[in-house]
Amino acid sequence: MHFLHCVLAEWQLVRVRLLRSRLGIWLLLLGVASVAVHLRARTQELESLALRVGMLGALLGIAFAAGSDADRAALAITLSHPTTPLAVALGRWLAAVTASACAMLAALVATVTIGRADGTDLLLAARTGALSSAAVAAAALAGVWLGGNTVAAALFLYIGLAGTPPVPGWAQVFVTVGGVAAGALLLMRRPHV
Amino acid sequence: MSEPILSFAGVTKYARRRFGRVRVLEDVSLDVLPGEIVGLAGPAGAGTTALLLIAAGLAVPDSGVVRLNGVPVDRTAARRLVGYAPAQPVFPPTLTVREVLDYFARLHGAGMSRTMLVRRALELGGLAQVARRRAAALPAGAIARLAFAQATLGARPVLLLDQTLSALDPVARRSLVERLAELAADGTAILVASHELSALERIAARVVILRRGAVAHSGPLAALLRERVLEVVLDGPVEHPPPGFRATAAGLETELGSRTVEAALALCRAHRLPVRASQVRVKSLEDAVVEACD
Repeated sequence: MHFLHCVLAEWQLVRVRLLRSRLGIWLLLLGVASVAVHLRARTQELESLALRVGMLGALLGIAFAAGSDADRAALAITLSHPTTPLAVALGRWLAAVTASACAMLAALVATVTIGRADGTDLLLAARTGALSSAAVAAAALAGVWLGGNTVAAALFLYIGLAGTPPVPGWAQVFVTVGGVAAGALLLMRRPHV
Repeated sequence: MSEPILSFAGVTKYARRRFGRVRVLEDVSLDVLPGEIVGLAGPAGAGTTALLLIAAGLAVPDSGVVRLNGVPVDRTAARRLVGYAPAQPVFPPTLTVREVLDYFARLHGAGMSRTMLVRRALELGGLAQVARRRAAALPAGAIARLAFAQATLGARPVLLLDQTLSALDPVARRSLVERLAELAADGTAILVASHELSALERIAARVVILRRGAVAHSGPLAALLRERVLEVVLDGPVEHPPPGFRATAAGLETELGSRTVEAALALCRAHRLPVRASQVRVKSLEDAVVEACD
């Protein structure tokens, strides 16, 4: 129960970050730009839009929830309280995924509404986008705790330019679990990253 | 005699530097009793921060054991026993002072009233007036008080303060010293590292002086400051001080020990030194630290 409280404490920071940092604006810009590009391309594939917004949104979420120098330095004080590295990693990951999932859902709904597209694939696309977002956020979490937001920026450019290759669901789950575990392990070994 | 609540036994720590491994702590053993305030002093790089980081469970010693009430410090259970205020605290960005304390208070479990915890911490840190300001935009003194306030969350029985007193102005320092005395009176054990030695003189019952990671002196403050020092003002500079004397800006000084003032001054006269004036003062903690590190 206490573990869940600690995860929740980390997750609850997402609201403040969305409103008071540039995370909210960046996610909004990402969503608007992606929807515009998608509508212009006149494609019916909602999945590719969900993947793009989900993955890039997850990177933005991680950059603002865990990757900044101040956030990384603040981990030392956080870990001097009765929490665990796993709870911190899980909470930050969940916060990033929540932020990106919100942006992705908003983008999907906007696309269906504005483009008068067929909305039957919306749920499927949302699921695919959320899974990819979770995997990318987890992988980026360990990365930013090692190398700061430079890693997040490199991943953002890579995914943004190289596109989103199809990855099987089991691989995404594997990367998610592995990424969060790696992040927690890193915090355990080096509490002030 | 009560059992120590915090104990270091043979703690040695190495750090990796660009030029190789460096020993930052060497075989440090130390016990802190409940309600006791122990001062940690030493020049920069003496190892005080490393010692406190290990006690807070944020660094692992290469050898030796640190226990909090019998629990090894690397266990999560130990975090319920120790509050830590780092020397250069950084708080999650974008949060206000109250939100920072609320965030940390959440980590202390559902059993306690979070609002009460935050209110008490704001009170202890003297932060009520800046509660709505962003933590990142606070001046250094207020950041140090916030670091202290978050360390007191959850009424943990051991408090580790790293240079918290050094960052404060004299008024805030005096106020914090009084709060520390109150906490100690309630049974909180406090290990406080500071370069502000006059503040340590006011609160510490015992002082540990570290030099290059090893304990150079450890003992009750009263015993350390009992010694008398004779300061001799000379009319001119002195090239070769008499045995037991050391040169100062104004002339010479020496610890009297069992000697009388007359005997010490007679030694100066025997060396044909132009003595203009002399005074006896009590040894300060600064003297003790400088001496231990010479």
